[in-house]
Amino acid sequence: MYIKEYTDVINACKTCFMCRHVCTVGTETQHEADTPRGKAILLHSILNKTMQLDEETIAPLYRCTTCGACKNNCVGNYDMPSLIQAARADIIEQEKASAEVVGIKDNILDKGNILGLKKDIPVEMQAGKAPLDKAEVLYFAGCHTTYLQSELAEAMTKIMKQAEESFTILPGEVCCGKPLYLLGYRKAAKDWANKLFQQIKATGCKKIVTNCPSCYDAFKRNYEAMSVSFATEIEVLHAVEYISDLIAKGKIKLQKQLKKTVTYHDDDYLTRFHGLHELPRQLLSAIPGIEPVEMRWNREEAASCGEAGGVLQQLYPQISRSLAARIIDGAVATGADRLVTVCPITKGALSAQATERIDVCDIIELMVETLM
Amino acid sequence: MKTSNSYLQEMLYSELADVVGREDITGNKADKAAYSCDYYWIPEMWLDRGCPNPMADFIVHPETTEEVSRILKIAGNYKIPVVTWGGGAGSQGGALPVYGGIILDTKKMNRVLNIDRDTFSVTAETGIITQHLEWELEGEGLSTMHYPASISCSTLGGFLAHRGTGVLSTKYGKIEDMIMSMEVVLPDGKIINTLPVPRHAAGPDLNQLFIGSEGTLGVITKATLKLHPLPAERQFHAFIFKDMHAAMQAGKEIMLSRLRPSVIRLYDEAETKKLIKRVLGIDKQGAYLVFGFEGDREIVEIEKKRAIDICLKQDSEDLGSEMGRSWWKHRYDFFYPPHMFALPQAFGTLDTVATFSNIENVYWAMKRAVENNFPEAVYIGHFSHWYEWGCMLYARFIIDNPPQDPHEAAQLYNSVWDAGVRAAINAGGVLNEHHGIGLKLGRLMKEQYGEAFSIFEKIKEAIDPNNIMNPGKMGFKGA
Ligand SMILES: Cc1cc2nc3c(=O)[nH]c(=O)nc-3n(C[C@H](O)[C@H](O)[C@H](O)COP(=O)(O)OP(=O)(O)OC[C@H]3O[C@@H](n4cnc5c(N)ncnc54)[C@H](O)[C@@H]3O)c2cc1C
Repeated sequence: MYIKEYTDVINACKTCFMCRHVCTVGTETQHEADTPRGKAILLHSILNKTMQLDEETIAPLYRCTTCGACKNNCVGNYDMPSLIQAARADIIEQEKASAEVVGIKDNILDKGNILGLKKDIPVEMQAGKAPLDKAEVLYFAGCHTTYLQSELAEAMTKIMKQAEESFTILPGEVCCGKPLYLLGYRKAAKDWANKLFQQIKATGCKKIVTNCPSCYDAFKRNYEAMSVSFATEIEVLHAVEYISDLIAKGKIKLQKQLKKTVTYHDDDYLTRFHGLHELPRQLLSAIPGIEPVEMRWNREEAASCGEAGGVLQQLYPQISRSLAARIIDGAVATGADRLVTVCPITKGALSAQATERIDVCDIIELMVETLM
Repeated sequence: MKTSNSYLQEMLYSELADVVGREDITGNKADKAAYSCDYYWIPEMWLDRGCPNPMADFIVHPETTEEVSRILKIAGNYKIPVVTWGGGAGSQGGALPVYGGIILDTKKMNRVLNIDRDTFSVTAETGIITQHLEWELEGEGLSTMHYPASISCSTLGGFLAHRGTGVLSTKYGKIEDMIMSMEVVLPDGKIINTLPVPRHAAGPDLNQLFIGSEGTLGVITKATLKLHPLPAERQFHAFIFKDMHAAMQAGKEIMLSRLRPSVIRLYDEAETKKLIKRVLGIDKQGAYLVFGFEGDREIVEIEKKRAIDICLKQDSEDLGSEMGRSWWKHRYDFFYPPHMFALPQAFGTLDTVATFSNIENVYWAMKRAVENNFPEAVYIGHFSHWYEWGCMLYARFIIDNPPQDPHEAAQLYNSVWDAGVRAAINAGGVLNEHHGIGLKLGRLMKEQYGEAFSIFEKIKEAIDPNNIMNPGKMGFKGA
């Protein structure tokens, strides 16, 4: 079993309570099985065969955002998110996935995106579509941007055009495969990654830029783990890194005053897994007129929206809504006019809970406002 | 929901679901497994060795006092045990559902209801994780000053139920000193309140009847606690003494000269060598002592200077304030893996408390009782909560390789406890200082109290005639 590789985590966590106060889902449902300790107890019992993977034991293993708040809090740095992903890989290997999990996988394999929407790239995205087939830079929008937050694709391509970048978009861009990996479909994820990587390579790009942290993390960490390596050939950048670079090279200038107080919501992947928490803040501070304020929980301690690959939203929409509502409360408490995200999934989740209380936007939309 | 074929269970499920809603009741085995083990070593070892721990029939998550009341009425009607569960991080097996029945998880009752800035008090529901309470208060510049090592994992109700304590207890007291008033749901479902203030002459103090009652007399649902402003100055200072006795003389003198340290923590030679080195990186022979003072800067400076002089009189090595602050910064690290003792090791905290006249005797008596009778056991300790009249000993025993057979391991474990605790009681200590009794020490309650234990038994019978509240714990009879 894959979880055997993480016996040290199971053993350490099954009798340790120290991170339950930061557990994203555990503090929402208040169920012991939803805490890292609860999950370690289950996995220990599954390893020693006093329990089996079945409907009841599997459910809590998917009720986890893999946000890494537990690991971040842990003095011993025990890697619960990786353990959970290993457990899900075991579930898939034993063909015990729930119908909902299978449904998400089928959406990706059959329709090319996690949302199960029709295969064609919607008009909104074509509007910003680059004219080139081969280019230095490949813009990878990801499922949520393409189908639900297409204004972000538009914003991103506007910025690239303004910077006079040579860029392209994959024809009929498909999911990055992150949800497959998150759900435990390791083989499918690897096959998917290989196929997508060939398409990406065919564009001749030197850089791949995405505004979706889940895609970013897939390319940077999961592809690497599946021996599909961008490392030597293609640089993977999140929009925040890319735009910062454009500014540094003088390719774009932040001109317009935006008299706004903004608060930044740290993304799980960018902040906790890639250490990218200052760059977005620097970018915000560089906008003339912007006054940044911090939420009580920020940087590595930020509340998670459960965004990872958009999986929790589909499997446990009620939990996902509650997580978003918590962040909205935290943002409203700062008195900011705008809550700024760097993730299309988060933007969608937060906007749905914000009602009239606060404006939610992505950092690239702010960029467009100040550029144009 | 799949629990059992018995239709009594079905009836019970329906009635409970009617109270809390279907999303707040579960009888599913994954949940039950997660509630079958607390921080008591025996269920942890049991789990580790693949033996099934006793499980509840249902876990309910009430969100209001009224729901708690209705749950207790249902349980009373069917005479079904109710075990209140806060964080489940108690070390005495207090929250284990040893007779099955209902686990009542309080954590959905986690609201801060009122912060009274005129009085400096806070009223909160007791299912709140104490760190979450502190975070809310911090924003107001206030604190309960209750900082236990389990601040992140235990609830306010759990600490009240176990007479818990935090690292700054030397200045601010234990939880029983912090309480002002409480709301309690009695086993028959009645909701009562204790008096609004903790000092009065209107009969015995009901607060103190329910504090420490470990879920055997009802469910504490709300509590009002005293608050303190966050101090302008918080300082620490560390020393190495040639041995524990010299350090004890200094600690005692600090207390007897009526300085008001927030903390004094004195580690015996063995802990200094092992834990202080491992966690803080201070590699010294002797006994490490750290103290802290806090409040107004000028007062802190004066008190600190007096305490430093007292320590230096004992020929100690002054490690300075940096080494003291390092202890404060890492104070909870001791409890995380890999620093914490862990299975397969057997370990237990034999915490006790005694007067200054007796405390060192208690330390040595326990050490002899443990190490002489059980050569496989190592005994270590530190003194962490200090009073005007004495201090608390956080003694621990560790057995690296307990027997593989779980029954033998449990027997050995209980025997070490019996020997250690009896030695403490005979030398003037008590059964426990802040972790409580639970299942672990129930058998020793009669030895500790003698005839006086019958008072507790009569109170239990009067308040809980159906014996539904946490039966078999604290030395009370089982279901
Ligand atoms: C790593 C670690 C460090 C620790 N450090 C400390 C420390 O520094 N200081 C300290 O005092 N303790 C410490 N403990 C022990 C533990 O945190 C305390 O015993 C705490 O009081 C348990 O609270 P809980 O919410 O986890 O209670 P649980 O374990 O859920 O329950 C404990 C008992 O209280 C009863 N109970 C719980 N809530 C209520 C309620 N609302 N009404 C009535 N009865 C109730 C239960 O029925 C049970 O009998 C530590 C534990 C751990 C795991």
